[in-house]
Amino acid sequence: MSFGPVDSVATLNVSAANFSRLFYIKTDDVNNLNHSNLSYGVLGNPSLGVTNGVNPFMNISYSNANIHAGFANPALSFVGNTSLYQNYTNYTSKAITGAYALSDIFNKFELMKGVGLMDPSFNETFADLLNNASDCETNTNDPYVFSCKTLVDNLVKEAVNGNVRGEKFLADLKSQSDTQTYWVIFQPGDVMGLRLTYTPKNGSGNPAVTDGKQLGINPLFNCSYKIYLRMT
Amino acid sequence: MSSIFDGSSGFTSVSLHGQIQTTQNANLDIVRDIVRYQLLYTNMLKRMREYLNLYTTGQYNELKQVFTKANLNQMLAANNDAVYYNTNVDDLVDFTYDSQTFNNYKRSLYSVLTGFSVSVKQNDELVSTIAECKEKTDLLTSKEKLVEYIRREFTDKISMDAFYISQEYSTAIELKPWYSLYLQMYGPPYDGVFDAEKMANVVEILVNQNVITIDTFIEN
Repeated sequence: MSFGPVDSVATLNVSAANFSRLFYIKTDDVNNLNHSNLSYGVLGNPSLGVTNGVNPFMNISYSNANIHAGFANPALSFVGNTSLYQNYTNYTSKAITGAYALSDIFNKFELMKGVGLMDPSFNETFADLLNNASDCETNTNDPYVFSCKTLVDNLVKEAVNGNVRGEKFLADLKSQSDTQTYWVIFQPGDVMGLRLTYTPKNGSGNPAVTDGKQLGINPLFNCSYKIYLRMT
Repeated sequence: MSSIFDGSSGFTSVSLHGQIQTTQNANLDIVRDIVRYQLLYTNMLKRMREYLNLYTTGQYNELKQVFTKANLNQMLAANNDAVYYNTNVDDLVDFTYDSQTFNNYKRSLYSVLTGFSVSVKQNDELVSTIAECKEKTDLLTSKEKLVEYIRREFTDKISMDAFYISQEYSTAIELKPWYSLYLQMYGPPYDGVFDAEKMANVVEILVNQNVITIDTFIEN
């Protein structure tokens, strides 16, 4: 699964342990993984016999992710300390003015705070999506189950090729005591990409309007961020 | 209105704003300075305004066409002291008072200010780009760094794109009053740099309407 183009790329450190009860496989032969003896799942639920799944998207502060590429104001990029909430504010400034990508055109604290206030709603959306996906074991039409399948298939391939990470994946599986359900254990250095899109209040492609007053003529568009969650 | 003066008399009549006034030597010196300011505007600032207009609107190719070495040299030559301190100036020969001189200076200086803003912005972007280029060059010219980079980014870890969601940004976007009015009056600024003269007009309006104070504008 690969995302389309994004406006900016950011990174955010998260705990590998928190993500290690997200994707699972079921197999009757962990020493010989192949498509015929594998099913894939996300979180799971008691009806599937999977009870210890944990949603990792509980308290993630996406707004604090560090921007690495696609700075709304490239002049600030060398400083290396632009957070997503600052970047989105700069992006909004750039969209309204045509290029002036500095947050000082706004009453910025409210605006930046507004970006932070979206974190819980992103987390809630993830929770809903995962909850829906938790019932879809083996259904690879579900995008999250499909993500799990892609991930596991690639890791198995890496293991076959003698890649260190692939071999570690197999070792982690074998170390789990459950006889059929095995969690994909993330390791420090692993990366999971998310794509978050911030949609303007008046819809993508329209000028901003506040209190019935249009803020210039330039349209604001959806702003998408690819956030690499770096496991620590 | 054109007035010619011999400059030798202690008392003479000078026409300013359509009024005939009795002028002493000290006042005559002031008039001579006005002559010099008008000459300076014509010889220097007027031409600089043309360059600045091209510069602040990013028309670099056009700027390159007109801001040639020959034109620069011509401007320098046309602005030596002899041009401003000579008997023609002392005698106010062919002097026509231009009441727009002050405004011309003011507008030119606003253009300079806008030019400064553009320069600072461009310098920041240049520094940033150079830093990024250096980082990439370091990577591409060192086999060890390149191998390590590829290993770190693409191999010894899981890298996957997993989730895609969107949310509405619902916080009201409130611009500071002077930016809001600027956009209403003049639209978005060219290349994102607010024109200093237009901004000064906007601030004047808002101060006169008691929407803001000068202090509010300065502090924000």
